[in-house]
Amino acid sequence: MKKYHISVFTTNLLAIVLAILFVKGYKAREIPITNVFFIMLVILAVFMLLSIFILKPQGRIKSIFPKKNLLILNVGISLAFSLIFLKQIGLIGFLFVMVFSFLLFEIEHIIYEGVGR
Amino acid sequence: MSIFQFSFSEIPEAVSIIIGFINDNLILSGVLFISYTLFYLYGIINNKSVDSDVYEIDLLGNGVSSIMVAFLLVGLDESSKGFSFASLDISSPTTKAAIFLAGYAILLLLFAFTKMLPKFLVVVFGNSELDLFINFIAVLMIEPGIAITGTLLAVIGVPLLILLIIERLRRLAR
Repeated sequence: MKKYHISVFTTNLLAIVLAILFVKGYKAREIPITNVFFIMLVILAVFMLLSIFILKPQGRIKSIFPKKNLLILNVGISLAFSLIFLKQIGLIGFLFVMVFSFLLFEIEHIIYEGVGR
Repeated sequence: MSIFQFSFSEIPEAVSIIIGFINDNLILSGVLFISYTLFYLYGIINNKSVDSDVYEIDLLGNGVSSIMVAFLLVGLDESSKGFSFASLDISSPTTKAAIFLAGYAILLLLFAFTKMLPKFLVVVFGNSELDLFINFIAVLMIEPGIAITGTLLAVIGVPLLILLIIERLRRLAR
């Protein structure tokens, strides 16, 4: 196990915690999370397009996603926590947690890919 | 009490605020601390490995997470409740903290790409303790009833600073 694995895994955990607590905070203040969710979705889309069409073809990164096991583990943990807190965060909150955690651990993965782990 | 004022008499109150927050969010606080503990243990166990040290890559990681936290903090005290930057309440402490954090994050990203910082400062800004400190303060700011004071910052920051010093001394003594 390398620092890369720990880093991508812990980034995902941190992102889940931040996302759930922020969604709860937004809900407590009666602020809709929809706008933030769509902004995150756009950031994720731009980031993925950059990775697929610029970074990968130029050889800056080898793989767009982490290895299958790490990817399944991270997505599985995000899914589990989102479902545990589904009642408190609602459907959009659930989607936000999934998108936010995916975005953050994906960025961490690309950072490590970019410098050769 | 402002964030620049520290008082020993306020330490019990700060500790009870932290314990109250942890009790209210037991699972999430547990996950937050587990994520940090995993990273710390990796550094402690592999302290002879070059892989476990702090590099510019950590500045990048911390910069990205800080900018995301700043972005989410901005929305908390924004008057239109529609995430419009034109409706930012600049006088609110949360917005001020978010703007400061965004500036700090941009500086981290700049330093990471230019690699202009000396190694000592890379360790100071790229360590996981500082990242946990920022994230923990940010999640405390979400709670409307919690006022961030200098004492609260010190109660959270000093143990993390001690952990950082222990880890760095272990690396020096290898």
